[in-house]
Amino acid sequence: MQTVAGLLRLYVYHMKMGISSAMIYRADFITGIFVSIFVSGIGPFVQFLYFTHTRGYPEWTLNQILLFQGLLLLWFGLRDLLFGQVRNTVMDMVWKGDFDRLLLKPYPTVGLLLCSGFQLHGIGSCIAGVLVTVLAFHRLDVSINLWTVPLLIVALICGVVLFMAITIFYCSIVIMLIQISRISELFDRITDFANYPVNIYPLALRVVMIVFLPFAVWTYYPTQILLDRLDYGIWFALAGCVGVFYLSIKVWYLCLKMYTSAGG
Amino acid sequence: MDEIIIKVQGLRKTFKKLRKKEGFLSSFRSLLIRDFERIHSVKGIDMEIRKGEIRGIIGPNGAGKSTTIKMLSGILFPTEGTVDVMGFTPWLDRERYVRHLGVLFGQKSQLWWDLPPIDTFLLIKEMYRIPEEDFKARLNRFKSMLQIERIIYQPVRTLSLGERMKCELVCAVLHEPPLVFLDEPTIGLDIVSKETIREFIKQMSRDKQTTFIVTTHDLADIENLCDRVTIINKGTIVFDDSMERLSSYFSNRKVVEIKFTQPVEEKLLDSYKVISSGAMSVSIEIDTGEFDLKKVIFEILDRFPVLDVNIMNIPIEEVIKHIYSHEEKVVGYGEKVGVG
Repeated sequence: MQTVAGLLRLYVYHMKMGISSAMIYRADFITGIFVSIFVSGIGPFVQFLYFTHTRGYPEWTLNQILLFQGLLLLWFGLRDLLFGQVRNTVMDMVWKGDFDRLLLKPYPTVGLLLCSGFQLHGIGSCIAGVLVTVLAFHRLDVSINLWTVPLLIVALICGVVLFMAITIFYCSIVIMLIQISRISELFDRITDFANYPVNIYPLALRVVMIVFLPFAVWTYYPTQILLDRLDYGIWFALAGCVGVFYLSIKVWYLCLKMYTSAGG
Repeated sequence: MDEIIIKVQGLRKTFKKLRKKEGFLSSFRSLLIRDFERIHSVKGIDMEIRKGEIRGIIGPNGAGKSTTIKMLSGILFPTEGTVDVMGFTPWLDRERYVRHLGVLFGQKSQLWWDLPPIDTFLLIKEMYRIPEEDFKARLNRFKSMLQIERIIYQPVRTLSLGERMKCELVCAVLHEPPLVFLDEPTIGLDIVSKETIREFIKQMSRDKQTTFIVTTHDLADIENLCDRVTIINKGTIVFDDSMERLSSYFSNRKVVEIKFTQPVEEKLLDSYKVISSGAMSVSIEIDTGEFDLKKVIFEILDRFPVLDVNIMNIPIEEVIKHIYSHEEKVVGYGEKVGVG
């Protein structure tokens, strides 16, 4: 528990240093945020075009999809803010042998890697996500129950845990194979399945996305919670997140033993 | 200084490395078929290091120094052997062990490039949970010892190499670890910065009984800092003894530096083993097992217009060059055992 608290403190410290560092270059900082908001806004617009020019998604109205898109953008932003830098950091560190430095710090190395993941660019998606979600709330007249907020918080925590697990799998592969640049794209394409409501997929894929790789916890279930049409699948998804995280830690420690460092 | 804090027995490390022939076709072939070879980087090292000691570890490139240090610091798992550092097995108790360890890699930085060093120091304070009072006291002490009062508030990218290295050193010792590994701490530095860093290390060792393990290619570091030196070559220890022993390694060979009052013809010196010569000076090597040193000196004084004579041991560079090139293992206090 002390280690987790220490890592959280370190995360906050790294985050402050990351922001301070980014603010040194003001032009880059400001344009970065604007570009990020602009790029993030394209997603909902494409979805809007798709929805209005096709038959849309079964069981989803335009405003419901707007809410889904708002939450999706919010999740993208949060994910990038929290751990957006990890992939670049680990690849660079392992390749150059700088990963040694993490092994000399009194914390779990994977925790330190995740701590170094803060990426300010995610702020743009967050802002865009909040705007689209507020608009969807306004158009849908969403009612908040007593259990809505706690459930959303649990879903958010499990979503973060699942994303941490996926990031840890990625880092484990890098530790083992050192240079595998396009693995990042593979991970992205797989997680892209979460960009659409789970109920549009065939049953087998739906089971995978709820139980084994429970991406549904990122956007699909939070949207369902707000729309008050939750199903029991969420409990499988929450448990799945913890399971995948446990597995990722096991794989990490196995791969860490194979770390060979770089020449001295 | 009698307490042994590092005990290494039979340490070995074998790496599996890709072997690729030259050329494009070979690259293409290696996509399908890969040849690996087993490289024995460390082939059985035994070593003991005492508390408060400054130990130099030297060896030619690829000798196995860094691999040994990486195993001692818990970065790499060994293939075989045992290591006990302050009661810890580094690679098994890594998280607890590294709390008591400071490391400086001369060629790698842990300072945040765009921020002043003070921000990295504060991060280290947070990481090692250094109490505020201790942090302030230590930082003030280090600032005056290394003369970095002003530079710790300037962005790292604007600092010189020497200034950065001093800050890296602070990062390594801010939590006052009892054991510090320094990997090439003076690489690329000017003579003044080198001297400041060496003084800092000596003072830390004196005041806090900190044990330092220094790997370097700069023999001045070894001569100015170390109590004992371990030479590693081809994965094994070939010398492990005090600096005095290393300096007098060729105890039966002396170098005599002679300055003349007027130029001396070269051919007159033909009967001596001349190492170097100038218009008004010469250095000759004398094998004291073969010749009587006193007699030779008197002969020189008698034959030549001598202004000054200086008798020295064989320079340490020559000793080390000899040890690197001859696989002759020196065990303990001067006992020689041929291994190759």
